[in-house]
This record gives sequence, C-alpha cells and structure tokens, in this order.
Amino acid sequence: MIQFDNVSKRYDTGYEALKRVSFHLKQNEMAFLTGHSGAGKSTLLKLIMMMEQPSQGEVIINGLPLSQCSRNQVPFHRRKIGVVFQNHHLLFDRSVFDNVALPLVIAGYDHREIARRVRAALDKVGLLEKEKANPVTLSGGQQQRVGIARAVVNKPTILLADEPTGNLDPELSTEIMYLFEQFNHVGVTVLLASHDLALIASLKHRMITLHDGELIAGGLHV
Amino acid sequence: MSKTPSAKQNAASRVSIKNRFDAWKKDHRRTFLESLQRLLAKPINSMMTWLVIGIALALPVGFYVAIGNVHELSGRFEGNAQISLFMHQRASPQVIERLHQELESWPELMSVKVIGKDQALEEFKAMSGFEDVLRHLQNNPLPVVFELAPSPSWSDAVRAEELLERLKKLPSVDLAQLDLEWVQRLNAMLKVGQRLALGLVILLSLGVLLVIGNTIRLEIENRRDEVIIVKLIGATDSFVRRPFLYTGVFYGLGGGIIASVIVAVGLALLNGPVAMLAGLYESNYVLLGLGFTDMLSLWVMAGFLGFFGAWLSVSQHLDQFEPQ
Repeated sequence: MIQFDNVSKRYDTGYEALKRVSFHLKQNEMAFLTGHSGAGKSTLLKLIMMMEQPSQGEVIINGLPLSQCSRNQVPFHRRKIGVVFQNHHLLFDRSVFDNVALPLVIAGYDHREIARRVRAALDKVGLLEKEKANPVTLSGGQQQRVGIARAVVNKPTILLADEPTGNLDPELSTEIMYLFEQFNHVGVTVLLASHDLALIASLKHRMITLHDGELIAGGLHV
Repeated sequence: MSKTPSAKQNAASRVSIKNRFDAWKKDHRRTFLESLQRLLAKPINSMMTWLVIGIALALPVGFYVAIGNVHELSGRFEGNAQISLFMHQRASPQVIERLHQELESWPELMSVKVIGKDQALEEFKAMSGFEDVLRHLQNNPLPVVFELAPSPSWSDAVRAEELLERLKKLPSVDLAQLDLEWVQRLNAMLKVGQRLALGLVILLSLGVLLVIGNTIRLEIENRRDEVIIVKLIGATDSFVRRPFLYTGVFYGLGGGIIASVIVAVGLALLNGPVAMLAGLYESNYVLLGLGFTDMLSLWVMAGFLGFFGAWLSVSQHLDQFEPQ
C-alpha cells in the first residue's frame, strides 16, 4: 500500500531530510513512525501526500509510482488519503459539520449523502451532538477528533497522522490511538508519526524508526 | 503487492464523466451562493469596493453619454443643411429663370427658393442698418441668391458636399456655400472627444482591474488557511480558484450597476436645466440616457473586468500556497 524504494530527500539548502529510506507497509497494516524531532517523519508523510518530491528513489502508493502522477492528478491522489495534523487544521469560520464535510464537498457529493456520511463520521468519533458547534468552542481532544472525522469521512484507504496526540494528555492520547486502531480494524492502512514512545510501545504495532533521516528499525517487514 | 488489485482500486476511485460534470455544476451553484453571501455579510466593505468601481466606470460612461447627446444634436443640425447659390452679377433674368426651373426638377433638392436682387437689398437694409448709405448707391451690388435645402437623403455632410461640388459647376454660378462647416467642425471635435473617452475607458478599466485584483489578493490572504487545507484534502486548482473568480465577477457587476445608477441620477439632475435650455432654442430636446442594451453591455463588461482582475490576482497569488 505504501512503499518507499531507496527514497532520499535533499532540500535546496543542502539539508538531507531522508537518506535512502526503503520500507513497505501492506494493506490493512498499522504502523508507527518514530524518531527524534527532525528525524524526517514529517518529510516522509509529505512525500506520501505529494507535498514534496523525492530527490531520489520512488514512492509507490496503492501500486501507483508517484513520479508518474501529474500535477493535475495530485488532488485525486490526495482524496484517497486521510490526514490528521498535530494542530488539526480546522477552519474556525464554520461549524464542526461543515469542517468534516469539506472533503466530500470537494469531491462533489450530493448534500444528502454528505449529511449521512458526516454524521456517521462524527458518530464514530463520539461528537455527533457537537455538529453545529464552532470548533473553537471545543477542547483540544475534541478538536483532534473532529480532525480525525474529517480525515476518514471520505473513506480513504490510507490514513496518515502527524503527531496526532502531540498536544494531548495521556488519557486523551490513548482514546485517540484507540480510534485509529478501530479504523485499522475496518481495513484502513494507518501510518502514525509520533514520538510518544511510552504510548506506542503499549500498542503492539509495527514501529518504523528514523534517525537523522535514516531508517534504523522496522524497515523490513517480518 | 501485485499490480492487479491496485489497478482495480484505481479504476474504482476514478469518477465517471457524468458524475464529475454534476459535481462541477453543484460546486458552481454552491460557490455562487457562498461568494455572494460572503460579500453581503460585510456590506460596508463590499459597498466601498462597489462604489470605487462604480465611480471609476461612471466617468467614461458619463462621458460617452454626453458625446452621444452632442452627436445626436449635431445630427439634427446636419439635417438642416442649407446651400446658398450666389449668381453672377451679369446673369440675365432668363438664365436665372431657366436655372430655377432646372433646380426645381432635381430630386436631390427638397426646396428651392430664389431671393431676387431687390428683395436681397431690402433684407440687407433692414438687417444691417446701412439704409442711408445704401440709398446713395447707383445700382444694386447684391447678386441673385438661390437658397436650396437638400432632400433628407442628401443632407449628411458627405453627400451634401458632393451636391455642392455639382452645383458649383452650373453655368452663371459665382459661389456655392454649404452652411454645414460648423457642424463638420463639431463632428471633428466629437471624434477627438470619442478618442479621449476611449483613452479614459482604457485607463479607468485598468484601474478597475487593479482595484479588483488587489481586493481579491486581500481576500486570498484572509482565506490563506482555508486554501492550504482544501488543497491538502484534495481540492483541484479550479475548486480553489472558483470562489475568488465569482467574488471578482460580483465586484465588477455590482460596480457596473452602481455606475449605471450614477449616470442615470446625473442625467435626471441635468434633464431639467437641459429642457429649459432647449426651450430657449425652441426645441423639445430630451437628453439621451443609457439604453437597455447599453446598460446590459456595461454590466457584462464590468462583470468581465471583475472576472479578469480576479483571475490575474488568483493566478499570481495562489501558487504560493502550493503546500511544499
């Protein structure tokens, strides 16, 4: 599902964020991406999202080598991937419902279908009663759950998350992780970047570890 | 992973043309309403932009209306073209009578009037006040004059000039004069005015373009987060551009409507004094306003300016939000 073949990323400044990284995350797999800050976790996720181009090597998502994906196809590539950000990237000028509906509006769904799917997604993250609220009135954990609802509302095959529990206390973090596991159970491939080692160690999933842009553990799937 | 299931998944996620078209239509309707709501939600800001555009457009449009009116007026004067034919002093009454009959038969002429020597002298005496001096003259120095009015189809400047050339060549004619020169001068001035108006249109349109472009740039800045987020969750470039383009069209269109209101109010204010002036000239002239098609083309042009200004701004500023 997510395959990195000898991928390097060097920025114009000369900084090498990723060095010859190779790994393969299979369909329906869940893995943690760990490493110190600046190890290249975010860069790796950005390569999957086509927010960056690799300097070398090939990223293959769902069988499609991203080097063959033209600029016009990038939006359609992104629609197949749900992303959760550390600072959740919600829009405070609209309701929770409208935030979650955004990917469906972009994809051009019918408004009845949108309502149905948004409610289903909000129900899954336990925020159905908050659909009319403005996200700014919600707690950090709730905002993160709205972000997750938005990431999964379009039923993506891949779910990425960049430090989704970075701003949350341990109890809320466990709840959020539990949510990700649930999506994984219904067939979504999940890749979570996190440096909360204590939390992810308790969760018995594959760990892909980066250090200074190099992959030092979890690259080979056993 | 084998290639087969992934190819199948790709095919499944591809959207059919019809669905895409439906989605496109739906998004247009949604963006249309949302952009309008956004503008109306900040009525004071929007009104200021509309006024700036409206005033900028009202200037050249008003100028055009003024020129149109002068043009219409000069057309009326052109219709009154008159040709004076001065005969040689020595032309005999028989020659004059023959010429009179010939001219009467010309279809190019609507009316032919002869002013005999004596009549001309009487008129001159009455008008000039030189009665005493003229009484001492041995003989009448004034020639016989034909006053000719060309028929309507021969009254415009070009054809009247043509007619004049033919009349000049008639025997015993000393001098033929077309009383149209001042109308021709006026027309030449109108051409200059039209050129000026065109320059004004181009400059002020450019101004409108920049105003809208700048307003849209600020709008893009304000919605920076939104642009980045929708791009990250799979919005196409046209999806991102669309609301700004609609906003631009609404700015242009609103400005165009305000411009037509400004011109209409201006004309209404001028109508009274103009009617009075026309009355003094024993005319019932009424100011020409903007016709329905003029108004419509003004709005279309203004809307297009808005679209184009927004498009310039969007294509210039949206690329910087490409998540990198």
